[in-house]
Amino acid sequence: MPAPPNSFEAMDDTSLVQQVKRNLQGQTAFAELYRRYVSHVYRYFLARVGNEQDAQDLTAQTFLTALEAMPNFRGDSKFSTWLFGIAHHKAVDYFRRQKPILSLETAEQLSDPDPPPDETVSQRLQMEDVLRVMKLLSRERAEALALHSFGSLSVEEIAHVMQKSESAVRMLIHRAIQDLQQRLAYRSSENV
Amino acid sequence: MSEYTPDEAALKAEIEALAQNIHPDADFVANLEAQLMRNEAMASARFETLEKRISLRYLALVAAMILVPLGIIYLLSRFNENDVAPTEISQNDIQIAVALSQTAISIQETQLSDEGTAIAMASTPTGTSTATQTTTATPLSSPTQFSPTLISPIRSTSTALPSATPSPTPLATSFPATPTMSIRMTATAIQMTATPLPKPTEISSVSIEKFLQQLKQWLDELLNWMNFSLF
Repeated sequence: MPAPPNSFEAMDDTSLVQQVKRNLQGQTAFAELYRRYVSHVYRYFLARVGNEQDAQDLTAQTFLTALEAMPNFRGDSKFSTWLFGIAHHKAVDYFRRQKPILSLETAEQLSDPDPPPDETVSQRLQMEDVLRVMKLLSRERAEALALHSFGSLSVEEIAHVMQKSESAVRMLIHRAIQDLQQRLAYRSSENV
Repeated sequence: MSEYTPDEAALKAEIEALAQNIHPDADFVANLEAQLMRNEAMASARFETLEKRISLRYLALVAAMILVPLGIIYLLSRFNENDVAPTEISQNDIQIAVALSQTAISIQETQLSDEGTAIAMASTPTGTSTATQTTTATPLSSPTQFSPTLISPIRSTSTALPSATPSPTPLATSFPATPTMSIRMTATAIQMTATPLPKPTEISSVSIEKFLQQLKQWLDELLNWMNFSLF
């Protein structure tokens, strides 16, 4: 007997995936999975690409692909790991299609934009600043930080997604934070 | 290696807190959910059709898994029969040849004893002739009876059956046409036994190669059919 839709919120990911694969109330079960992870996936893409429009497009592509590929999901890993694996490949494809339009000089300016005249200079960290500076990080560091801090994935899951060891992932995240701190500190000192 | 300084840890916590405040646009979320549900409704309809096709596919696979080995066993058994048949025939040939040669030898022995008796009777009045002299004095009935092609098989006969065959020279020189024909039969029969049969391994390798080609063609057609039926 299929589970009533109201009970889906109490179910874990594995049970929901089984519901979807058995096509028992599959639509509602996948909707629940979608609602659980859409924000995480969107945040991850926003941190990676830096603009809302591309983040929305990539999020939509990721969930559409996940829905199509759901019959092939064997359950060897967690659903979130599998989903972010798809998202990771979408991001890789996105950057592969992007032409290197930013010169080094332009990239340096990104970390030191002129603040709007009417904006109060604040020492408080702003999301826009983080997103701008993340574009200057190396691709692997930015990927690891985005998956960890924005996608809410554990180090183990990131290691699975990025096909790296857990120690390598920890190192990438640490270096990303160090790099981010240096660049943000430089920007803050400039603003002061 | 991954020990964070207090500043780094604070920054990390601040970034994570900021990330939690990011939410996608509500309209975008609702539109994407509606699109996903539409896609899944279509996919589930396709899935039912696909299930039927997959069941047909498995049925075809099971049938192939049963029929192909049966076919292989059947064809291999036929090839084995073909391989064994020449060997059996050759055994029969040998038996027939041995029987023929024994018959011929017995005829020769009978005629030899008759001839010897006749020679003895003829030489008794003079007392000077010997069997060898008699054979040299006997006129040749036909040159072909003593041609090397005849002598050679006779020698091979005597070599093959030394105990049962008399010495070749008196045979070749003293017998008239009838014993020579019998010796020729013997030689031919023994030559038949000596004729090498085609090697069974050569036959089976060629046949198996053809069979494998045919089998590959069948499997290709089966796979093509299964792909066509699925997509």
